[in-house]
Amino acid sequence: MNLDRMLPLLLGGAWLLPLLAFAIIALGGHYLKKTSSQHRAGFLSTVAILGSFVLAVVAFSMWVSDQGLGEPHHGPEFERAQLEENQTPIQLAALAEEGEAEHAHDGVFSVSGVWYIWAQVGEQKFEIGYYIDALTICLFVMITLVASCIHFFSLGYLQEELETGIKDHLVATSAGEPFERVGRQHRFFQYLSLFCFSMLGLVLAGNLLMVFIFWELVGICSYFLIGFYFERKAAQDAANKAFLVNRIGDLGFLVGIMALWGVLGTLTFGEMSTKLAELAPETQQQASPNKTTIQAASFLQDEEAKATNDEETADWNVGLLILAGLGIFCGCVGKSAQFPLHVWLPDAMEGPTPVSALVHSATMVAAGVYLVARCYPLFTEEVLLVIAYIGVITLLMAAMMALVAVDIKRVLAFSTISQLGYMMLALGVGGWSAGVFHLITHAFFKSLLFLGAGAVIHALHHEQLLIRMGGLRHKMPWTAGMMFVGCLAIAGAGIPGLDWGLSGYFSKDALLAQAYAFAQVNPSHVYLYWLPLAGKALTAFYIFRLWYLTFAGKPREKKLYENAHEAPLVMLIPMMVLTYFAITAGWQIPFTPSSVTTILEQALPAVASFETPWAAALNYPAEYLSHQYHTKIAWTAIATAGTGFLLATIFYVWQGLRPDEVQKQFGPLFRFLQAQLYLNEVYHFLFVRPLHGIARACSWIDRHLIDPFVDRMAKGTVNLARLEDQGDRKLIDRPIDWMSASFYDLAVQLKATQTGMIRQYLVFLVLGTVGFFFIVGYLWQL
Amino acid sequence: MSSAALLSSILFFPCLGALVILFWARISPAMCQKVSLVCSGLVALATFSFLLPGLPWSFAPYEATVQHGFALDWIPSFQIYYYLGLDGISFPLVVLTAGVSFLAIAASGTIKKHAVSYYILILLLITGMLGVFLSLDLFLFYIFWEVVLLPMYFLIGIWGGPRKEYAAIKFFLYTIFGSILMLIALLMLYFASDLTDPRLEEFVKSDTIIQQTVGSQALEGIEARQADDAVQPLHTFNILALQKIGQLTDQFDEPLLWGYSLQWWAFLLLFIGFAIKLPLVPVHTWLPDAHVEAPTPISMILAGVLLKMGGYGLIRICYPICPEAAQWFAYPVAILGVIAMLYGAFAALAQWDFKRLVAYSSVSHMGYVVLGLAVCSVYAGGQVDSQAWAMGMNGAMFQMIAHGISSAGMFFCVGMLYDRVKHRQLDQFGGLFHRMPTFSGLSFGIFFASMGLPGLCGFIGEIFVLLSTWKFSAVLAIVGSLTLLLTAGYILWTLQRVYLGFEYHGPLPEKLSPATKGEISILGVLLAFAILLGIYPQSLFRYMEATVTQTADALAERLSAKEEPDEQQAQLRIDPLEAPADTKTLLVERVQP
Repeated sequence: MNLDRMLPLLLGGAWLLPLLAFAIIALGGHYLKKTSSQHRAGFLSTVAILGSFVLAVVAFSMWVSDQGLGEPHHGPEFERAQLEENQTPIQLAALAEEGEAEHAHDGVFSVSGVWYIWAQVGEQKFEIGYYIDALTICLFVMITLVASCIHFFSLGYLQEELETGIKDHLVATSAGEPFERVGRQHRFFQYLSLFCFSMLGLVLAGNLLMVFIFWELVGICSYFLIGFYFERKAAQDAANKAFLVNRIGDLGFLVGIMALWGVLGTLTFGEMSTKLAELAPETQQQASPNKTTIQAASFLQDEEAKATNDEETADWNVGLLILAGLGIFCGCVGKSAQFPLHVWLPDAMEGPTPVSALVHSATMVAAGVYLVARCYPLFTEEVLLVIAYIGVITLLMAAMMALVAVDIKRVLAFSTISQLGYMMLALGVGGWSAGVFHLITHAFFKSLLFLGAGAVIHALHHEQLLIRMGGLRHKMPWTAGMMFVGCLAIAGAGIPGLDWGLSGYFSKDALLAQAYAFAQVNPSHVYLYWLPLAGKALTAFYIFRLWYLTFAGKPREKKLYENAHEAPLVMLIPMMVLTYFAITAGWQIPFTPSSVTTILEQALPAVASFETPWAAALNYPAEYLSHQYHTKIAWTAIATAGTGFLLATIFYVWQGLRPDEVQKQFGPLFRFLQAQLYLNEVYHFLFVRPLHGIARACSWIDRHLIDPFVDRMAKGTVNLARLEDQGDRKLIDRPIDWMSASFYDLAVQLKATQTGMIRQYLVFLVLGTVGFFFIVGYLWQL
Repeated sequence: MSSAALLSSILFFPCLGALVILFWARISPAMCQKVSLVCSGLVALATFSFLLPGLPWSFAPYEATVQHGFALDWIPSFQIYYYLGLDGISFPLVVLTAGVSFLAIAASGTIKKHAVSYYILILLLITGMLGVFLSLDLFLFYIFWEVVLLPMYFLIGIWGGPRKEYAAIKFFLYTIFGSILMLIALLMLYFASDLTDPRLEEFVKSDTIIQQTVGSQALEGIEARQADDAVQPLHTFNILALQKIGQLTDQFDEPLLWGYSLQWWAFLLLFIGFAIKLPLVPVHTWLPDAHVEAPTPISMILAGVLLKMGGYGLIRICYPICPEAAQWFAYPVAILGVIAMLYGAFAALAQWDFKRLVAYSSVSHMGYVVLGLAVCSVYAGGQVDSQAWAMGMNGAMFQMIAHGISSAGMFFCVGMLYDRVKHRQLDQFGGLFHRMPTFSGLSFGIFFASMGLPGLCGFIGEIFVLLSTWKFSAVLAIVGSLTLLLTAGYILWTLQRVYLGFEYHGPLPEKLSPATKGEISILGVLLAFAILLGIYPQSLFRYMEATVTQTADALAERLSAKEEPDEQQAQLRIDPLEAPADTKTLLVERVQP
């Protein structure tokens, strides 16, 4: 089997199938005006994404049969034996570096190539190509699987969009009636297919420019999907906000791309590592002592000049690299809704729930994490530290906001932000595979939770407030059960002694263990371990609060409860599939020592090896070193999560504590959290209003400064012309007129001599002749 | 078919159509449109046929030289020739002109007043625009430049909106002011030029057009000069010859006034002239007024083609003829470009009139063109980065074509709405997605192309310009990239106010009929090109890249050559380790005292 040839073919096909569906629906949408024929569009999209899934699975199995499932990484036995004992952090760090050198990447197997040249200027080529490694393939399978489930679910969820008279109760016409419109299910599937195409393209992209292209395309799909109910003002605003906030991040991304292009001269993933390697020794040399000995030799001044010159370039390059890293991460902050650009994601819940499940939890928002993972070798230690801290801030902040949210989808949105923070944290502390692993497990359980929420909302006819639900487990036992599994998975439930648990147990364990290992060798960053651990208790609390408020207890709204019904099979079956993966995604593959992590680790990139001049004394423990902490961490984690669970139960089941009393006690904090830290208002005040002010000023300058100036110039010219005209009339014309008039008068007076008498003429003639001779004679004498 | 006949017939075919309309007794408006449509359609077909491979006249891609060039005597006593030709810079613009003009005429169905004069003027306008892009003789270029001006004046002044007289006269005065500066500059260049310079010998011998026109005279002059005989200078209006003179000799380096050289002044005058046409902040205020008052088809031509004449002038005349001045002005021009980008975007954000908003977006987008042309970045050691400059220039050219497509489409969208409901107030729209679904879908595509969404044509020019600017000045690149955010802001806000929402809340709601087939096809064609250029920009780069890159390379070479002595010294100073031993001692000696 030829991977080089087959993988691009298979994944390329999987990538283009949704595009085909999109194109057909977009061009044929004209003929789908009748709502009765719109279901064809849904089928087409679903078939396309299923086809993509099949192709992705084929590609995956080819990969596995060729490359194997990967072996668990473990350090040599004696090292482990040493590590079992308690060691000082310094020793551990030394070991870590040794281990790193040993493990230093025996080359990541990847397939990369070019489909076509997008643009070529001089010798600079920009290509549409692909870069396929284990990460790409795993994400392809995950995305197409989740997307297929959600396509099926949407067929049921958006059933009502096939009707002709849909009443939108959130939009009131001027008459006060709910707005009535025709269904447009085909549009929904059109956008969904475009999204799948863009998302797969993002993962498949062979260079950063191509990533940027699809990065923006998923953004615009998200815009369309959030604004699907575009009659609603809230949906329009949310869509605009999502795109604009993402654009802010993208500006940073663009700066990162420009900086990277400036320092490396390439944006292709396949070439980056070699270019970095070229750059690395140069920078490392600076620190090496050999340099100084040479410098000590002859011609000091010149040498020094050169050295400083080189050092400056090297510093400049490393500086650019840091800027590039921060820039790219800035893009990820926008897309993955990290603090401080997370404000768009809660609002994005205005979109239909399947969209929230696919775009705003499982795939698009994870693109930021994916990009950090993909560009991992580019990040210097400073940048990684920034990533880790942003992750921690985000995960805590969002978890606290989730505690007080009252809308079922918003709780899940904050939870998504928080979980993305966990992933960023993991990547920031050197846990590459832990972060990516959590991305995959999170995709399964979070989309399951969202679909469950969707089923509830569907059953309650678009009621989303938690306080109006309750007791629904009787009406919707399947949904309640599966959502409970999802809650357990996100809380990281498991049995540490048996090393058995749901998917979240394994991924959270891995990333907490890595954070612990990092905190061990970098004692000053110990909060990077404690805060996420605390976050785990919060996670368990808010997620079970959600479940209890929805399904447990007694129904709080009788009428809503009476009309509730279990979701139809077309919605339940996708949820079952997701439940299966939410349980098992972390498990070992039967009869092998491997799991998803080991497959992913085939793509594990080398950790950045830059001696940067500003580097804090950081040590990055290799990931396999954190395995030893797994058991210890697992117990701690389970204990914290259990506390959270217990608290939620006390609050909402046993009613031991009353939530509203606690709310009263912590009134200001509660309101502060519920207002999302007033960030929206702050941003509006700090950025939106000043920008509009500048805009008005520019418009004002045009109308009141430049235009009057131009008009005055024109008027001045006209006035000058008038003046000249007056000059013409008065100074030149008048004397000429006077002259001509006097000549005329003279002529009139001379007319009197014209009598017509011959004798008189003769007299004149004689007199004239005599006179003439007199004058001539007189003159002659002179 | 000879090149002369081919290009001339394309150039003057619209005039023929104008004659037909003029002498057709009692012609109806619809018939006028049909005749013009056929005429401009044939012109468009002819220019598009250059794209097909295998025809005897097809335009060869990846070719930097002038194709189909020919020169006929016109006023030979002043070395003025009827010299036309196509190369990578002019060819895409010629195709764009033909295409946009055809669509504009197709969109003229609503014009009923004085139809005969309207179509005659618009056909004359097409000849003028084609002439600007086709002519390679500076004098001829200037003539066509002026030819464009008059029909446009009447088209705005007679068929325009309520303030048409003001807008027309403003347009006319602004442009004529620029033209006068241009005229001064081109006379300066003409009288300073001399083809009998020995450094031009190779060029004079190799260039067929020069050979055909003044070749023998020039060669005689060169020989005489080499023999130290006194020679009468041989002036020229040939644009390519002037470029060579600017790049190979120092004829334009003479100090002229206040210590600045002739080319410095020529650059300044030409730049102002072209900047007005472009238009660049702060000489842009004619544009919003002209657009708001002009009828829809004229707005399409104005934004789609006329503005590109400014950019074309810069890249064809201003920069190649005055390289040193270009370098001197690099920062001022780049900063002006960034200001225009931001200022236009900000001003667009504040507009309440739909058409004014689109007009300001043009100002913003043309700022990229100026920025892309200006990025003459210099390495340490005086070497000019030709790669980055080539990228910037290519980006600028691509931006012009892309903007030609997207802005024509946007103005057409505005015009369609105005035809129906007779107003353009952004706060009095809404809910169009329900009433005009197909139209709304197409408009979203066009507006996103303008927003620079990847996958559509607007993105490529912007990203290329910004990437090349990074090498020139990181700060300008970062500040300039803020435009992306602002653009997204005003476009999305506009779309929200016009298309989204549940109901239309303006006057004449009953007039909001769905788009007709003709309207859909005009928008569809524009969107199709936007998508094609977006996903496969190489389809355009393959025609223009070679010429544009060659232009940038020639400039970079000239400017680098200037600095060469310094650079050699620098190299000597920097590499003591690698240098042979004697050099080392030499260097040490040199340093020690």
